[in-house]
Amino acid sequence: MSEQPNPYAAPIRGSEHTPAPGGFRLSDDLRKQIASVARLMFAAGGLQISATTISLINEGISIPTLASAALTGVFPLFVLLAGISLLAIAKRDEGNDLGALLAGFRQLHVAMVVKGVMLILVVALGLFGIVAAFFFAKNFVTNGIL
Amino acid sequence: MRRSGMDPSLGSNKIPLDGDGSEVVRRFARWLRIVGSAQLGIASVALALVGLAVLCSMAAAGAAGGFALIGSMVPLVILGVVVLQALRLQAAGEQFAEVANEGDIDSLEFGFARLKTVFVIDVVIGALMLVMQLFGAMK
Repeated sequence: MSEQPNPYAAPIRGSEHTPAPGGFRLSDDLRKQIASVARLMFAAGGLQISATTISLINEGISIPTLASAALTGVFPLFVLLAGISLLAIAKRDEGNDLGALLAGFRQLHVAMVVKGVMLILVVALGLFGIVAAFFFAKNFVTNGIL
Repeated sequence: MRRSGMDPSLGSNKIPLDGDGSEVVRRFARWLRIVGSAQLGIASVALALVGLAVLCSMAAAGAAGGFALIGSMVPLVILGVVVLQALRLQAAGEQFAEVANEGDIDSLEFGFARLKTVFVIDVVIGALMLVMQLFGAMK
């Protein structure tokens, strides 16, 4: 008895929707999860860009402050853009989710390249400083100054 | 194993990534791991140095300086959070590399779960930066 379908039952959510051939659609849970991460990206990027802008206004506009703001502002800018791209996934009627997902990944990739290059520069400068200090001290010792 | 990340109406468990799409995800995953490793290295060295400084000041101050030493724990906590963020970045990189290689939908879910922690920390850092700049502007 219970195996027979009820012809008067309300339609199941999503059952009336026919996916596009070859289209990629995420489940509602994953869509919500990505949307929440996208909102966090949007907030993080927005807050850090605001802080950089206020810092620029406080310190006055000059070449060093502009260069500093450009260095600290590029990463949050691309995080913000990635957040906007991934927020498109939250809209169910976007069609194919793969396009929005890849657009978000591309912008996050640029953000990570910017942050990665900055961190590698910091590591390289730190190592250079240690090596330079070592040779500086060694030179002092070998010359009998210390 | 049941895959939960994909719309069940489609029937496939894999993300249909073509060559370009797979390459985009692979490069993103690689840079996530690079950033995580660099951040982990810097934060670990800083954590060790600050930890040593706190230990030395604890030894010098003894029991009398206990209250002041609570304040010196703040940089340790901040560096701990930065280390956690670096570890999460590396873990997310591993998951997204799986997405690029296998098109695994579960890895996509896990990768975004790790990225959520990363960006929660970024939101807190951004809010602190903004508050500091606003206080600086009011002085």
